[in-house]
Order: sequence, then structure tokens, then C-alpha cells
Amino acid sequence: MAEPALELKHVSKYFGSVAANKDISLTLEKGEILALLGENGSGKTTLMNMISGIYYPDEGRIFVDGQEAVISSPQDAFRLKIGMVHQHFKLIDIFTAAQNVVLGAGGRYGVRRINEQVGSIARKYGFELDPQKKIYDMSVSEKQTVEIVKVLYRGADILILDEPTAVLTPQETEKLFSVMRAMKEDGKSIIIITHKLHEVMEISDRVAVLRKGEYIGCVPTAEASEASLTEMMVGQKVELNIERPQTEFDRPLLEIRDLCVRSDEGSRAIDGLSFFIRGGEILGVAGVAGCGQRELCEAIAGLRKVESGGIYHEGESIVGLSPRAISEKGIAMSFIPEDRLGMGLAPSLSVTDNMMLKNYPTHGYGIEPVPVEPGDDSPRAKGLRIRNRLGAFLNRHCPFVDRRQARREAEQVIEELGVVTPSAETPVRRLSGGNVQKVLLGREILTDPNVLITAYPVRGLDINSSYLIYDILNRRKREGTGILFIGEDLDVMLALCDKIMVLCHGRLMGVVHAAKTSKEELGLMMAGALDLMEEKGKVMGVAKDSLIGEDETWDA
Amino acid sequence: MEDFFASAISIGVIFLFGCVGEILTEKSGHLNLGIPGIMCMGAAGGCLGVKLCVMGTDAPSGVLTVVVAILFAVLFAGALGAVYAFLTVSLRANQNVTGLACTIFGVGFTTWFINSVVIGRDSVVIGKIAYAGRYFFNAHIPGTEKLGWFGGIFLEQGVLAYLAIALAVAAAVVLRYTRVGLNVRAIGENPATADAVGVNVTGYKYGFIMTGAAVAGLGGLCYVMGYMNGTVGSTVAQTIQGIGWLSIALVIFTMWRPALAILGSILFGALYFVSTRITGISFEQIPLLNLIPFVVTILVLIVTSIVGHRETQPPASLGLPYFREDR
Amino acid sequence: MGRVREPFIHITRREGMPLWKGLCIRVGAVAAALLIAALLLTLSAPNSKGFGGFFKSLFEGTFYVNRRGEMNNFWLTLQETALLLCVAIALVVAFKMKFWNLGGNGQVLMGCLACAACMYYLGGETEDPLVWLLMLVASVAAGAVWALIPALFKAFFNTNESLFTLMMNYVAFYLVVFFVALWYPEGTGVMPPLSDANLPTFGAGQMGKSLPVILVAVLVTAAIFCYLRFSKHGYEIGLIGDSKNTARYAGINVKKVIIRTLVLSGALCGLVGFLLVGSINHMVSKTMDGNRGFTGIMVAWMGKFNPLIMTGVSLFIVFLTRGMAQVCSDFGISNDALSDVVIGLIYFFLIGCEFFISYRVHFNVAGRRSRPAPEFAVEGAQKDGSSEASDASGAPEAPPEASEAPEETGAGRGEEAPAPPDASGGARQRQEEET
Repeated sequence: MAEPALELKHVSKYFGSVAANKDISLTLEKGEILALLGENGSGKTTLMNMISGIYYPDEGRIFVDGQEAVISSPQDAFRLKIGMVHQHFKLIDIFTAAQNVVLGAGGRYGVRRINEQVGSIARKYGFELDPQKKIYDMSVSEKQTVEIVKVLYRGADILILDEPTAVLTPQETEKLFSVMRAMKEDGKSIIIITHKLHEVMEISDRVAVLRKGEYIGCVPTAEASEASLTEMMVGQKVELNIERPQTEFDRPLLEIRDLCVRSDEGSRAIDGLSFFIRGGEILGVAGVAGCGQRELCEAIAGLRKVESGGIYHEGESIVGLSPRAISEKGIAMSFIPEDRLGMGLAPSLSVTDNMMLKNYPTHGYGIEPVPVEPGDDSPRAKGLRIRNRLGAFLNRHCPFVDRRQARREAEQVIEELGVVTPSAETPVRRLSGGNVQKVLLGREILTDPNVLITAYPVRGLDINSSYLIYDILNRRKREGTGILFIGEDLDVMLALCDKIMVLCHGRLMGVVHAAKTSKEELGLMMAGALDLMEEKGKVMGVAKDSLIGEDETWDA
Repeated sequence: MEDFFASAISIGVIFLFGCVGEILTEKSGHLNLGIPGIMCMGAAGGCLGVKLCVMGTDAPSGVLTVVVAILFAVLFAGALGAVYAFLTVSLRANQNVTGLACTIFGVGFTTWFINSVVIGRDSVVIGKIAYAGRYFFNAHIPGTEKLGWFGGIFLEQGVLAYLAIALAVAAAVVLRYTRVGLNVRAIGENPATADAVGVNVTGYKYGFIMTGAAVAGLGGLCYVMGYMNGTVGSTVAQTIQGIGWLSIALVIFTMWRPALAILGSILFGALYFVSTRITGISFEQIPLLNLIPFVVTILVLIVTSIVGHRETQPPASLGLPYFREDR
Repeated sequence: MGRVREPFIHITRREGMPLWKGLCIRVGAVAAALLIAALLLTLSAPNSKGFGGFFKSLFEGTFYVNRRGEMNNFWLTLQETALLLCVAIALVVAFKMKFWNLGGNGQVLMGCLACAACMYYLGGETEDPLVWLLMLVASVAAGAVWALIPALFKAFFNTNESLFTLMMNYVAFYLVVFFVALWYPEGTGVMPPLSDANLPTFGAGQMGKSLPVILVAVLVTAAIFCYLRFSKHGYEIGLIGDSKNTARYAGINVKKVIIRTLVLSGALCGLVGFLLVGSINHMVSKTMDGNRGFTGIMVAWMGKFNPLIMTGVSLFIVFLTRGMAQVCSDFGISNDALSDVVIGLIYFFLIGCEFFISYRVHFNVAGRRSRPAPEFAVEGAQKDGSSEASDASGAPEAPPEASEAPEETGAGRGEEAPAPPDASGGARQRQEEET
């Protein structure tokens, strides 16, 4: 039997005290497609970064073609004919496609020469690529094409693709898969990282599963099923019995009408979107990554300019209000970006300081209101009300900030959500990913919002923590909060949400009842193959009892 | 008028050295505020080289003197560049802080070195260095007088002026048309990406910072031996420091393009010349002329940032340290 | 096994080194630099007073007491410290926001210029207290405006602030030259001290002159310390410095805060200009900033942006500057540029040693696989002996010298060459005549 193309033996990598990969042994045969499966944060990318020379393993050995190899730099990986397409494109914006492709590779350099070379590779595999186009003018899928051509140009025998399909449409994915099959025919070995099970089943020969940085096992795809793989991935068979409490749906709290928002690149990220959230319901948002979720969140929170259309909170337009004014109306937003830190948290500041991120203007002298019964008209109650109002005024206009209240809140969140941290004064940067998320969500819920927008709240969390988050959301739901839940996992959304709206390239494909729809239907809508808006010809996303327009005086 | 242009060029090339040196450094993502000090180091080294060649012999060789001076200038400036590179690349120190320390060190060192080590109180040395400056560094091709204004402006420059222009052209070609240039521009834009595709980031940074320093160091030499005709004074380092800051301004003014820097340097040279030598305007107006290069640079900086065209921006990772395993 | 190549050096970030250990490394770096300086001077100076003499002179720069029992040097040191600290504090306000204000020199100069202008035009014309007030307002406003201009463009167009503020220094420099020439057209470009509208002193002697300056610096430092640590503004500044996106998300008007903070930063620099002209020099010159804008950057950075540590750092730098000047004069070295050389050297060592405080270096001993210990298991890893030799942090004083010394000799080689024995007074005089 031939030597395996790549063999890892007992490889480990630590980041500080955290083991990102622990004692992993893995084999990649020649001419096979190996799927590396694992949840977010299970150490897939770290492992692949060690093979491609970005990180150097703390322990263990790597064999390429049966020879022990030391991959201490990307050059080493390049020399061993290992090429990786990263999830976040590593391209130089101001260079052309061709310049990016040949960057770091050998050979003579000349503008005309490289354009021809790159053009011919692109033609050979059927990519549409203009070698002279600058990266900053390109779409996401064009950029990915450049990345793949880059690896092919180097004549890599071992290709590592890190979640290549996350940003692609189904057609583009199919095209990618056919290229991968062609490369396999060519004798190349491919590792594809993904967490989409159906893709694993479709493309791979074998599946290796990682869980929390540890190697679980490797099975031939033909002998595996989605259920068995899921079990390997999560450790135990998970019955998704997320609770969906029945609540009285309240009047519409947040209404979005014909909203158009542009992305950073200037394209239309949200295109004529209308929907509404009632108090006491969870509205799920499904869609492939980058189909406008981020822009939608930012527009509602007042962080992104609204091009046209309206956003109404209890019938009042909030377009053009400052982020703080919107937050003071009771709209809370927690967005967990891919690096988990980018939005909503200041990594170098302590948990306490992050806790008062939004309400620090009211933390002046630390004068706290004395509770007064609402109906109480006694002189004492009147006096207390005046005192409270005066206290709030003083707090707001005090030049200093009182951290005692924030520290109490921080300690409350740490205790209630089980955040693992040395103290409330530890910089958030030093917390692990899941704990960072808990801090973020905990803070948003502490503000007692009436509309809660939460994007990817369980990204990278373990099962127990995820359930804790679902419980918290359901508790808010029972208290009458309207929740917009932007998620990745359709199973979770089907179990947790009351209704699910599907976005495809910023357009609304339809709103369905979670109890009456299926995963397949959602998948078709996400891919743009099924458009309920056209099919049924009825107006979706506009409440019958809308608070906007002529019914503005409508009173519950 | 002919004299004016000739002088503008002869001053401009000093800026050109500094500017090309700084461009090379900045293209690798390092804002080197030590360039003024590094230019001074070049002057110190160059003076030492000239002294070694002209002392102890009655008929010093012109070519040898120029070559040795250039060698010493490159060596001294490159050494300070190496310190800067070591601190900012290997030890990941803050670039602004390290650069300023380099300037403080370089200016102080040069003042002390030139006064104490190179010339001391020996008038013979001063005379001989001045001789070398006038007849070796500013020697020009015989017969250029016959070529009229063209010869007067372009062919009567000292040897270092042509070296400056040659280096600027070479830098432009290397940055634009070679793989080395492609790699270093990639590092300046996004070192992580360059690293991922196998470009030796540390090596390139060291190489370009030290090459940049060496080129800038020639500017110091050019000032002392070329423009000042070898007249070494005690305030030479102070003056070069001022020129060094103008060179950094010139980098911005020419939007990180060495070829454009040739024209820009002549423009700056003309302004500088006007402010130091011109007659016919009143005493207090001179500083206002001195202001112009800086104000114009600021305007260029503002306009390019407002227009926001991707290709006229500073290298994207300028001033940011790079640590591969940062997470 | 033998042919397997491994990276020789392996570097990881380190968090939370004990304070004393960090201090030891820094003290070691300074000591090493001073020893090199002492060695150079002792060997090369024409009038060398030996190793002991070097350190005696170094301390006399600050602690010399003259025959009348006055401690002028001491008060001058404090005054210089106060001025430097004020500028550094002004810059820190901006640095905390990651706004690289390299324009301290220009902002101080503009403060000087505005103050001198008030004295020149109004001095003796009206009541002194009124002029004083106008001087203060004008200086502070001028400094603030000089910082406001780059701040506006940074806020609205994201113009590179370090390059912008750097250029503004020279605009200020030539504006000063212009006004001095305008006021004294027949002069040599040097302005004589003005006798009107000088700020009052606290009694006679250097102490009386220095005390107001020191007092202002103490007040400013304390106020900014509280401002950064306890105020809402300070919180906003820290937040923007950490993550602009998060700050925006928190509802902070980032543009407004950038502008407000830079106005404060420039105003404090302007205040230093006011002290320099109104209280100390009574005139303005193009070099009056004394390069404090740049030195202040060093102070801020070495002081970790903490006003309390920065006080110590600026005291140390002024002590060194004055001490080295004293050493040079005692050792018969005619130009005090040598003190800049030594100070530059000390900067290099201090900058370099920070690396060994923030990072951990693992050397691969040849032929053996060594594994860097996980961050929090350091103590154990050192005990088992395998990484004792390889862990640079094991010996706090060692790393800075060990790894920097070879690098330094490249630049410092020239200093080792003995100076000509007669490189003193005469040469200097002649050079001055030349220029």
C-alpha cells in the first residue's frame, strides 16, 4: 500500500492555557477527499494552520509522503506541496488577481506573463476570472476563485479548503465540488473543512471528526450517516428538545418596511425588506452567511445608514436616531461576529467596564432609585419620585462614572450565566470565546429590553451553554420581549423560533411558521430556489394590526 | 535662472535620497521616524571615509575617496537602520518611539562624531575634506559648458546627484516590476497574507529597512560633501535633521512613488533654495517660504484621504507590528 | 532525527509578569546602558575622572549644592521634569485613544508664540493680571487649535494623524521664526526677553521661578489621572482606543470624542508654552519646545500611559539629561551632543527590554525537542529543568544585555575610537565662527 499523503501523529497546540488541539493523529491518503468535521471552535482551523505552516505545533510530528516534515513556515508547506484556502481570504486588496496568485510563488515575474499564466489556469478549470481585476473590485466568490487558483498555480498535491462553501450559492458550491472531483481524479488529496453534513456526505471519501480540540475518529463516508456523524461531532445523540413556550403574541413592537441598506462595499445588502416582530415571539432569520444579517442588525441598532424604507418601534420611526437613543427605547442588540470580539465588546477593558458600555452615562454618582409603588400617591411616595428623578438627573450630568453598580451587574452576570473568569476586573480579551459571549448576551439582557436582536448567540458554545442561552431567550419571550434570532443551525431555529423568515441576498423569500415548515423548504428558500413572496402572491411581512400609517393612533 | 534650477536639483537630490530611503522602509510597513538621524549617520560615516582617504597622502584618488565615503555612509546609516529593524521587527517595539530614539541618537552621535572624531581642531583635515568635496564629489563631465542651459542644469551636478536619480529609478522599477517589489508591497499592505503565501516577512522587513536606511544615509553624505562642498560645520547634524523631516514630508507628497519623488524633490529643492539663498524679499518673509513644503504636504495628505483612492493611500499596515501567532 | 530542522526561536506572548520582575529587567537595561556610557567616557574623554567620577558628575547634574547652599540644579531638574511631564500627559490623553499625536512640539510652540504675542502687543499697555489672563487663554487656544486641525481631518476623513501632526510641527516652527523676524526685523532672529507682563514668581532664586511650574504640573497630572481613570470622558477615550466599532455600538459619537480629546491634548501643550514663555523665558525662540513633544512620546510610552509611572520616567530622563551634561563638562568634552548619544543608547535599551517583559522566548537547544510550556504552567516548567536554560525570563537581568549588546556595537563602534586628545574648546570656538 502506498504511503499516505499526510500523516499527523500526536499533534498538540496550546494558546496560553487553552489546548486548541490535543494529541491529534490523522491520516490523509493519496487521491482522497477527507472531510474534517467539527462544530465551531473545535480546533479544525488551528489544526489545518499547523499543516500549512501558520502555527507551529507544540507537540507531535507531521509526516508527508512518509517522511517526517517540519513545517515551521508557509514556505515549508509550499515546498511540500501543501496549499490552503483560508476561510478569511488572504488577499492583498490593491493587487490584481494575477499578482495575488503569483505572490510568494517562484518563477519569473512579469505583468503580461503572469496574466497569461493565471488566465490559462482559470480557463482550464472553467473559472471566470479576469487576471487584471483588482481585488477591491471583486465579489466574495470571485475572491474565493482567486484563492483556489492561487493554490492550483503552486501545483499543490495536498489542498486544504477551510469552509469554502460558507460564502457560496448552491450553484457555486456545485461548481466547486466538480472542480474538487476533477482534482481528485488528478491524484490530488483534499481536506475540506465544513460543518454542513449534507456536503460531507456528497463530496467526501472519509470523514474525520474533531470535538473540542480532540480527535474523535475517522469513518468512510459510505458507512456513515448524518445521524452518526452528528453523534460523533457533539459527543452524544442530541434530542433537540428545546422548549417553545406558547405565549400571547402582543402587538407589533418592531416593524420594518421596505428597508434598503448598503453594505460596506456599496452593494445592496438589504433590498426592500419588510417584517415585524411582536412582543412575546421569537422570529428566526435564516440565510447563508453574509446575506445581509449583519447589515440588518446594524441598521436597526442605528450603526448603519438606512438608504430607504422605515424602521418603526411601537409605531414611531427610529430611522436616523443615534445608537444610544435607540438603545434607550429598549432595543438591545447582541451580534456575535466570527472572531467573537469585534462588535459590542472592548477586549482590553475589564468585564465591569464592558458591562457599562451602553448605560455608563447614567452611572454618575451611583445614586440608586428607591422603589415606589406605581399607584401610591402619598406625600412620601411623591417625595421619593422627585428624589429619584433628581438622582437620575445628577447621575446623568456627573462628569465621573461610578463603577460600583457596573461591578454588581458584572458579578450578577458572571454568577447567573456561569462565566469562567478570575474576577470581574479581568480584561475580556483573556476570557475564552464562550465566556466572552455570555458576557455580551448577559449585558444586553440586563438592560431589560423590549426588543432583543441576537445574532449567532450560541456560536462556538458547548451544548450546555447553548441550552442556557435558549432558556434565557425563552424567559425573555415569556416576559413579552420581541426577539429577533439570527442563527446558523436550522434545527435549532425550527425548535426554538415561532416564525422564521428567510433571506437570500438581502431579499425576503418568505416568512413561515416554524411548526409548519421543514428543513428542506427552508434550504430551498435560502438558496433562492423557492420564493414564497412570488409564489403565493400575498404580502408578507406587514402586520394586519400595524401601528404605522393611518392606524398610528391605534391603542392596545 | 539656470543657476536656480541647477541649485534646486542639487538640493533636491538630498531630499530624494531621504525620500527614497523612507519609501523603501514604509513599503515594508514601517514608519521610520529615525530617517533624520539615519541621514546624519550617513554624513558622519561619509566624513570619516573621506578623512581616511585624504589624510596621509598628497595625491588622494578621487574615485577611491568617493567610493570609500559612500561605503562608510552606507555602513553607518545601515547600522542605525539595523538597530531600528532589530527593535521594531524582532523585538516588536513601537515604531514611532524607536524611530524618534534613532533620530535623537543619530543627531547627537553625528554632532559629537564629526566635531570630536573627524575634524577635531585640525584645520588641515577641514581643508582637505573641503578639497575632496569640491573636486571629487562635485567634479563634472568636462565640456558640458558648451551644451548651454541643458548642460548647466543637468550635466554639471555632482556624482551623488546622478546616484540619487539612479537609485530612485531603480527603486521605482524594483517596487513596480519585480517579484521583490511585489512581495514587499504585499508585506506593507498585509503581512499576514504575505506570510501565508510563503514570503519571508522578517527577512524582507530587515532588508528593506536597512536598504532604506543606507539610501537615506547617502542623503547625509550628499549634503555635506555635495551641497556644502565638504564644508563641515558644527551644526551640520541639525540642518540634516531638518532636511530629514522634509524628506518624510516628500514621501507623503509623492504618494509613495519613487519616480514621482524625482520631480517632487526638485520642487522641494527649489522651495528650499529660494528660502535660503534668495534676495529681494524681506527678512521676515523667508520663513513663510520655508513653510510652503510642509503646508503643501499637508494639503496632499488631506486631499488623498478625502478622495480615498485605494492606490494613493499609505501602505495599509504602516506602523502596525506583525506577530504571526497573535490571536 | 538529526536532519530535521526546527525553528530555533519560538516566541509567545506573556501576560501578567510580576511587577518586581519587570522593574528588575528595566533597571538592568538602564544599568547596562549606563555602564557602557561610563566605560566609553572614561576611556575616551580628554579629562577623564574615572568610573567613580562619572557617577559623581551624573548625580551632581541634579544634586549639586553651591557654596551659598542653593540647590539650583535640583530646582531646575524639577522644573524641567514638570514641563516634560506636562507635555507627556497631554500626549497620553490622545495616545489612550490610539491617536498618534506626534505634534507636541508644534502645539507647545504655538502656545509659546501666542503667549509671546500677548506679551509683545499688550505688555505694559494694560494691567498685568489682565494680560496674564489673555496670555493664558491665547496659549491654550493656540495649542488646542494646532491639535484640532489634524483631529478634524482624522475624524471626518480618517487622514493619517501621525504624518499630519508631524508636519504641523514644522509649520509652527517657521511661524515662530516668522513672527520673531517680524517683531525684530533688524535682529539676528533672536528675540530679547520682554520685561513686561512676566508672570509672578514665588520669592527669589531658582526655587521661586520653578515652583509655579512644578505646581501646575502636579495639578495637571493629578487632574488628568482622575480624568482618564474616573470620568465618563476617560471611559469613552479608553473605549475608542480599544475598539472604534464597539464605541460606535455603545452610542458614542466617535468624531466628537476625537475632536474633544485632541483639543484637550493640544490645550495642555499650549499651557506648557504659556509657562515656558510667561514664567521662564519671557521670549520665544524656534527651539523653545526643547523637543519635549518627542521626548514626551518616549515618556508616555515607557510610562505605559500611566501618569504615575510617567512622573518617574520623566524625572529619570531629565536627571539623565542634566547629569550627562554635567559629566560632559566635568570630563572636558566640549559639546554636549554626547549626552544625546548616551540618552539615545538608554532609549534603545529600554525599548528593547520591553520585549522581554511582554514576550517569552524559547530557544531550541540543538538536537533536543523542547516544548514551550503552556502560559500558566511556567513555574513548573522552570522547575523541571528542561527549559531553564532556554527560558529567557529565567534570569531577569540577563536578556537585554545579552541580546542587544552585539547589535549596539555596530552603531557604537565609532564611539570606541579614542577622540583626539585636543578635541576641546578651541575646535568648538572655531566652528562657531564658521557658522
